[in-house]
Amino acid sequence: MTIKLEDKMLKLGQSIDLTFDEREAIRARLLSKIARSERKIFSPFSPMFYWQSISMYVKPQYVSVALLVILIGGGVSFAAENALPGEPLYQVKTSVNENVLGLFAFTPQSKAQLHTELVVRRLEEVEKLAIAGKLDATTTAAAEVKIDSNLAVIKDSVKQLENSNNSAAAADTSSKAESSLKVHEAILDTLASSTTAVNSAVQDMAKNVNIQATALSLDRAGIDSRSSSSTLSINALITQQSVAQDAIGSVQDEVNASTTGTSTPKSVVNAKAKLAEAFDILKQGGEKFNAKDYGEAFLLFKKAEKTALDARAVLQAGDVVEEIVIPVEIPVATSTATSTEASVATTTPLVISIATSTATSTEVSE
Amino acid sequence: MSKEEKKQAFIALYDSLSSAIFRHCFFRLSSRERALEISQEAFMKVWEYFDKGTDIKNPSALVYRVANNLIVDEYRRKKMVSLDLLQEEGFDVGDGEQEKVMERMELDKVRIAVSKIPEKYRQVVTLRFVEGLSPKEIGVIVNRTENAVSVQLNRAIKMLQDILHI
Repeated sequence: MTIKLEDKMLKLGQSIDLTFDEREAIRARLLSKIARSERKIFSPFSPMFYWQSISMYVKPQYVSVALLVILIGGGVSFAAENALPGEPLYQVKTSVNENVLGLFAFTPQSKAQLHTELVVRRLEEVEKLAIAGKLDATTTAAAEVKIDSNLAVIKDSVKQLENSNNSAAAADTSSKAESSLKVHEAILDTLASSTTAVNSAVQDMAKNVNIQATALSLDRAGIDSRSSSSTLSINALITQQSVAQDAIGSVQDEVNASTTGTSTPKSVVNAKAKLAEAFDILKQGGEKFNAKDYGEAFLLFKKAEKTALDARAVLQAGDVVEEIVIPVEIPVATSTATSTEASVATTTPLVISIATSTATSTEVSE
Repeated sequence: MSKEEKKQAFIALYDSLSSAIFRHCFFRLSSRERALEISQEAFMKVWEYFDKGTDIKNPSALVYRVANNLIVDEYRRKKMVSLDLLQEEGFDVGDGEQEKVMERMELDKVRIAVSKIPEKYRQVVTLRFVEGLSPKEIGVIVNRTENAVSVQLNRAIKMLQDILHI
């Protein structure tokens, strides 16, 4: 009886095997990994990173000069490494030290690694300031701009890796950035909920980090999906699409309800324009979704939702909006090299609609 | 061992074990795609051991053990689609042209029965009967004594017999 069962199982086993293509595809990926491991990638903050980069890309006779330059500038640079936003040496840290690091990152992987570490640095700075009770909205906004710029480089590097048929490295690189963001999202969440560092700026930062981490996660899902044709969960993306659609739908209803009279208030016209913008963004998100660019699609769906909510804010400002006309001088420069006309300055009236009570959004139009 | 020697040894290991590891993953995961991914990941992790210069006494056992750990992670991560569901959806295991219809039906019954027994028994029964490993070799992979593996195998066979009414 047992033997019969064993025979059946052995036959069953024999009927399952890799196809030739599958076996060769895995073998190719393994060989690619082996080739990558032959050149170890060091952290951009490790001395070996410089040494490896210098020795690979600088002619041997110039290596000593390159090292000397690094050593001379090293004193100030070293002192600036622990500077926080608002401190005198912070500019040296971000504009000199970190730009120098960029000079040594040549491959998409090392670029992505460097920019991931820069994202971590910015987040650590925000955390340190939050703990010290020195964090404000301006610092958070400045950090967010830098982080967005770093993430753009990471995403670009990931795309380059994927385009060069290195999907495994692309997914791995994206995954590392995503993990770093998630770690700091948790820290920021903890800081935001602690009584010692109550700060809405921290909450906003945590929220933004969460959005970016989700976008990276979806990017990775897209890479996996394109490279292995496996069906991956994109529930988060679909949910966000629905949220954006619902937001647009509900604001559309509110706009329609506000346009029943014979004359259309200016706030309704502005809200309609904003809503049309939200529609466009949602559509772009749909196109990215179809192209399996999931990370970008997620960000666009988020943006569509926010734009729809902005439209609602404009609508709600409604009757309490006052129009204030401010004359603003806008200099119009003309090229003196090609024209004999002198530079002129025109005075253009700028109309700023300011909501005086419940408004949450400021509309600027000419 | 030089880098080139390590590479050659590793590729030889892949060539000799790729089918067995894939089969093992397939039986445990019931998904061809996931089995392919886990097989590849297992070999990638094993290469990292090779690359670090770790002293590996039994490379085959190491590949199985790494694959096992990845499969366990997979189970923890999400509830896998059952073989029954795949069967209902007309999932095809192998080359239908080479099998007689009756024999295929018999094999499918065994496959479904294996999917119904607990994971720890499925693991040893797959290693024993599909891969043809001895209880001693299985013991090395699952980190248990030969006796403990034999006991698990007997229980697994009993369960399969009960399910198959044989």
